[in-house]
Amino acid sequence: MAKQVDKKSRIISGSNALITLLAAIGILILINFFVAPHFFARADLTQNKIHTLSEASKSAVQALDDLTVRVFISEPLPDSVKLGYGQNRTLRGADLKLRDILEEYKAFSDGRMSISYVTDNVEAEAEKAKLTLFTSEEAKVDKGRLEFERYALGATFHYKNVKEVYPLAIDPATFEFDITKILVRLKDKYEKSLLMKDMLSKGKEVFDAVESCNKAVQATVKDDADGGEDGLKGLMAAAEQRTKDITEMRSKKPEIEKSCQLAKDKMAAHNADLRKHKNEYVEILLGDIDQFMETLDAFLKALDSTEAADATVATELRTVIDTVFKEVDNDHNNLVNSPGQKRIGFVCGHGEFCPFANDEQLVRPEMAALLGQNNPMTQQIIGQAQQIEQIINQINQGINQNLFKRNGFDIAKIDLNNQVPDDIEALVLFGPTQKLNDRELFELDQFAMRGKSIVVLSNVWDISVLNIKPGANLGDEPDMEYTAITENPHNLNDFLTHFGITIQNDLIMEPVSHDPIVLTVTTGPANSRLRWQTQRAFPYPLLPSFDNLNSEHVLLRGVDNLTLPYVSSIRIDAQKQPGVTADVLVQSSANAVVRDAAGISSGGLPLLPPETINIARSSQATGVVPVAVLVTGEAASAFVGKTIPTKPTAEDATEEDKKKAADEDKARKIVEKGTIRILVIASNLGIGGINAKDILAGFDMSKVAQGGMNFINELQNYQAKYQNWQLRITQIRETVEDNLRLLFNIMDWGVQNDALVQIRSKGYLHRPLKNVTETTQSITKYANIIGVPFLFVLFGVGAMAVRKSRKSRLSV
Amino acid sequence: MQKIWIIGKREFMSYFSSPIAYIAITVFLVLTGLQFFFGWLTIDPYASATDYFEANEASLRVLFEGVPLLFVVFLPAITMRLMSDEKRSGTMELLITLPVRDHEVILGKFLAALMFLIVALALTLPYVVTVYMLGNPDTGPIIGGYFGLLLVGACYCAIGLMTSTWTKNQIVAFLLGVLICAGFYFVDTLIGAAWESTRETLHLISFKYHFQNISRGIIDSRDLVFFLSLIVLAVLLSTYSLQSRKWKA
Repeated sequence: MAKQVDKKSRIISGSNALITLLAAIGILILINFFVAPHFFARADLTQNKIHTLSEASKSAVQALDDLTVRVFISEPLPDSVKLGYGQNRTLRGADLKLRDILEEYKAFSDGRMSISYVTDNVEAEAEKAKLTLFTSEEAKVDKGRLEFERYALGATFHYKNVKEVYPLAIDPATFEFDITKILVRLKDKYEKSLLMKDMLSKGKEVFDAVESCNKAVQATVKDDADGGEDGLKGLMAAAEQRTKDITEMRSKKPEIEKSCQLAKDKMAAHNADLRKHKNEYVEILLGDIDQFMETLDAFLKALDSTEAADATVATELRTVIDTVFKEVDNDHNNLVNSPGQKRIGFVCGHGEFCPFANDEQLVRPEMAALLGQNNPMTQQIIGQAQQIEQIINQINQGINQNLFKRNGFDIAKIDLNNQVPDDIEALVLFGPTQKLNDRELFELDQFAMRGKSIVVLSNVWDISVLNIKPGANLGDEPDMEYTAITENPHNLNDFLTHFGITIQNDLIMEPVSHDPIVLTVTTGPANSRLRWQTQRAFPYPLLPSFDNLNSEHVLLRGVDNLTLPYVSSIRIDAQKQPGVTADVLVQSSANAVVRDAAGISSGGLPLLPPETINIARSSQATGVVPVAVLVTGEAASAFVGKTIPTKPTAEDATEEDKKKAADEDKARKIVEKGTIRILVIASNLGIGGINAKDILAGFDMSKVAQGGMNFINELQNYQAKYQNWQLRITQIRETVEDNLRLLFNIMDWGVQNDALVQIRSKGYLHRPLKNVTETTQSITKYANIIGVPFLFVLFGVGAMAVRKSRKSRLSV
Repeated sequence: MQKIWIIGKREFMSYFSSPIAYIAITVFLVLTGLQFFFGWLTIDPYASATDYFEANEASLRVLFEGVPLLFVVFLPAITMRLMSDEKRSGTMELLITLPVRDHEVILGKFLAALMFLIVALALTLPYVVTVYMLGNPDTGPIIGGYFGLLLVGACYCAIGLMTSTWTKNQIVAFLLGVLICAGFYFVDTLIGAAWESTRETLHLISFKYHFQNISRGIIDSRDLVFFLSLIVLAVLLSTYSLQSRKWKA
């Protein structure tokens, strides 16, 4: 009986425990999965509150009174996303962070913002909404073909009748910046679109009609999704299909004509009105619509023909029509997005950093083909020059696309011989190495007088460290360790001095605080065959790091340290313009050594490590000098009372063109006063320009055709210039990477988006270590790795000994 | 409460009465030092340079990436003997005849492991001093990182204690502890790689995911709730595991 009671009590107690345990597990699951995700609080411990919405973001969301956000998140998302150039980015948790930050915006919107999540056909809907779909690293085999699945992670923001797209939200570090930028842009866009309402609505009417026309054309043929059969059978099937297609197209011709007539009517009705606006985006759109119509007419004409060849032409033209329509679609999109858009102009043509492909081809393919016909040698030489040009153009296009467009900057190439367009909010002069002519200086001055921003990033010296220099004559060994310093012959001071700023032709060395230069050196036992090349980082005082920064200024808020390669000092003349204030943003430390032009030219500055650092350490400190200055305030133009400098005329300009230009100048009034915003940094941030025109300077196709060996030598020069550009970037890669963020801040400041600069500065996380010698590094490492455990062991042995002696005393 | 403290203190002191604690902490310190300066445990293919001076960043990021991994082995090794040793040596009977309740025994042992963890973490503070001497780090992520390590470590201790109540064999307890801790650490990476659809859900139970948030300097209630829930669950399971002797025949 007792045994039975005992058993019963054990069962009861066990069951109770089990029930309590299950209840506890249930409660914990409930809390973790259903309660905590909805009711949560966060504390941001970071110094700059980098994980908390800034005041600028809160104000941006509160400024929009009816904001709707549509969020597109593919489920499941892959672990990483493939970016260009073989790079991948991890996506772990990015979707959750996007949801979190959007909810945070919503919480601060005081009920003005709503969020909806697209759950059905996410990728298709995202594509319709013009998001950028991406693929994962892993491909899947589908019907014998390698397929990369497509994913969406982004959102669209709708405010009144305007929309902005966040096409690819993959980097949580920039979520706040990107979203706030979109919100600020939405407000601007809406306000400006009200002023352009008539133009936008007419543009839309024409575009919609063209779209319907293209749909009618494309609906004539069904695309073969499966790809068809292989081999002869496939070819026969394709021919059969083409015949079917052309019959179908001919039968549907009346429908196409009817649908496209509407497009023609709309174009005829609105063309003149639209052109009146003299809007760049409208001009491009109308130009492409004209091309669309021309292709359409040719297509319809080919359909009428009974010739077999015309049938093929019609089939091909149908595809061309679709391609042209895609251009039209893109143009219309640009027009819709144009209201309130702020573009940044990069001045080009003086050896600057100018991230655009060359407009004109230096090595023209038809000429190359012609010249290379009879001489294989010439063909090879021209081919190589052509290759260099193509690579450089691709690099510039890549920089434009991946560096600027991807970071939300709309940049334009500026030729200062012409008046700077109105939608350019800021001009960047990025390391010019040639002189600006008087007309260009005038346009620059007038741009400044319009109250817009000018950013000057200029390096006085061109420094080559272990570069390549081809031999003087053909067959001579190239110098692989070419090291030299030359002065850049720019004349920016002609513009700047008027506003009280002069870039000095000196060079600053920081003996204590600087970044390293990475050089390829040969190492191994001397006079031995066993020597190899390796990359080594050397302390380099010509890459000075500055912590003497004006942290109050929005450009540098949150920035602790800045490295400005090969920087010079700036002289400020406060008396020059009484209404102008010059704020020093960055200055050197008191340890800085400033080497003047005479000291540099006399060869008194060794450029190779370790001599450079030794010289810097042994020289007497010059003291604090400014290296980045911001000039703002009311200023008078440098051209008051002067005539406008004549515009240089193009070689092929007619008398009529020249007269027209002169008349325009006569009619133009000089803006004599204005509020200026000029930022001057006496360094190009280590970002050197590469331009096919400069690299291939002196290239002349006719010289090649004449034969001779000189050209081979010149070709080696071109190749060396291109390789040296790569080398220089690689030598200071980390410094350049850090400076890109500063460049983005400068560009945002340029278009007067100070709020965005503040948000970006929050994430400026680079906190470099102090420069210490290799010995100190080793001591630090081993003191921590071995010293601390050793001390702990010593303590342990001591404690054990004390315990043992206590024990032995007790036993006594 | 006092009983918990007494048990905890006794257990904690017993760690240091033999050379084992010193050896374990010394090995731990050498390995964390190697991680801090050379990043030998950093397996993230997207991580930048792992040599401390090469990375040129005044932070403890690399240390915080590696220590949770070290804890996967280090902490179960510390907790494996907590209960299984009592069972093996027969002192368990003595312990349960004392006027203490089962949960007080478990909490006392957990407290001891926690104090051991705090000592081990405190001995890594020279790295913090080093970082401040060499640069100007952001204090937030450092505080967050240590707080996160404490939470992850406490979870591992609770799990180690739980496995220690399941068996009298210390090695078995250790291996089970390592398996469960590693499982929770890599759950989203491993299972998520095999079944992509589960990845998002698995993030929610991944130590790594929650720890990364805290180590960036964000104290989020969701991460705290997660870690505290797991500690509570493991301690509860340990208590019921101890109690289970009463239900067995």
